[in-house]
Amino acid sequence: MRQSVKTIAIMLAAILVTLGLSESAGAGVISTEAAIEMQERSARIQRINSVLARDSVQSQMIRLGVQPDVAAARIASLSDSELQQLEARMDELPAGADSALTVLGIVLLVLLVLELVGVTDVFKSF
Amino acid sequence: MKMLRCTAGIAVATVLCGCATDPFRDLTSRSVPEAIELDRTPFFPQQEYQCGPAALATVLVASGVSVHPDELTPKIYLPERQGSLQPELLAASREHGRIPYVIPPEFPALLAEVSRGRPVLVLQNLGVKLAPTWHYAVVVGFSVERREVILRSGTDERRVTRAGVFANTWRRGGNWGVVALAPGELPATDDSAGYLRAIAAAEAAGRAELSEPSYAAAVKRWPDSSLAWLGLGNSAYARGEPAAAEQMYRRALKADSENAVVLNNLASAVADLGRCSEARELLLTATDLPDLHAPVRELLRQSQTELDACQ
Repeated sequence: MRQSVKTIAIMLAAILVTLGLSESAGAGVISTEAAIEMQERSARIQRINSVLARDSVQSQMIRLGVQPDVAAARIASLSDSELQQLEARMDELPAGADSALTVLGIVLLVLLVLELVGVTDVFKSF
Repeated sequence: MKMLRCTAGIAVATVLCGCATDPFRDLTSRSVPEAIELDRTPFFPQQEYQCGPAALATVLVASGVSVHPDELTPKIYLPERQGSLQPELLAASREHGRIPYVIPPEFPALLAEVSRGRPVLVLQNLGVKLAPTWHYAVVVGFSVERREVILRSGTDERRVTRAGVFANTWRRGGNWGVVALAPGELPATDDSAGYLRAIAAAEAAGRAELSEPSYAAAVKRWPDSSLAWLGLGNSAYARGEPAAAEQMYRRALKADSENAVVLNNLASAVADLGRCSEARELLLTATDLPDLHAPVRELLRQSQTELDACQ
């Protein structure tokens, strides 16, 4: 089966499985999310086999300390485009943590100046 | 010596002050009040590294969901990254019955949502680009006159920040803000593209109970949006109702008669209803459209092959 067909088939199958329907003999249906991607002129549709993407993201989550069964549940809630974002950049995406200062030394001095003139907002009482 | 130091200080400050902006400066909308504070927004003081769960719980509870940060931590926190990632915040919102709508990345959009009574979850870089300190907080108010933005942030129930400072930290987070919308609840701005993107993600995550009422609201608000009608049509098709889907797809075509995706999906619905030659015609119309991207052409070709089975 060609990649594009597999993608549609998986998307359609996913919908059908969710709703417990049997497959129809129709021409296949292109998901709204895929349509948005096309409309925004991204010439690639989601060629990534979403099954592979799920496996990859799940492994990465486990490596980052998430329990396997929990990881599986978290994957299930993600949309296809969110899966893609995570697959490519899980190690680099911003991880919102807290407002604690994490830099030291000379960088601290620079930050102090920046804080005073309103560029940064790391310190509480200013 | 003292004077030199002072001058140098001022020089530095002047150079750096050029970075501080006044995000209220270009505000023209009169639908934004002079000042507002959503003081009924709950406060969940965050635990270490847990600003994600705290911030997300804040906006979810404000939108009528009953949830505590501790329930969200296992859904979004990544131990080795010591934080939470944006896509997972969105996914967890849907789990709790809300559509996470990412607002347009502009200060006026932020103000519009708060003015509508909806607190906005924002990503801030409290540090600098090379040494970022990522943080999630919730905007609950502002004052135009005092040039202030009010946040629930970390362990501060009311963190009042100068608007220029906030704008800098928000800009370095890509001006990313999210609002938790109930199914069928519309955004404060005329952002059909962003709203439909949010609904389509919910649909793709299998949350028809969120996406269907929202597509229905979208077609009422933007009756000329082919994408909204496509979404409604896809929802009907997924429910196993090709006749209803056909109606929606035809409305989509009325709004955009040269839409290959709609033609493809309409062909599917019509084939399911036993009208095989009509389906083939629709696909031919689609393949005849100018400027088709290669992937779309490929999909149409495959659809045509599958129609061979249609009697």
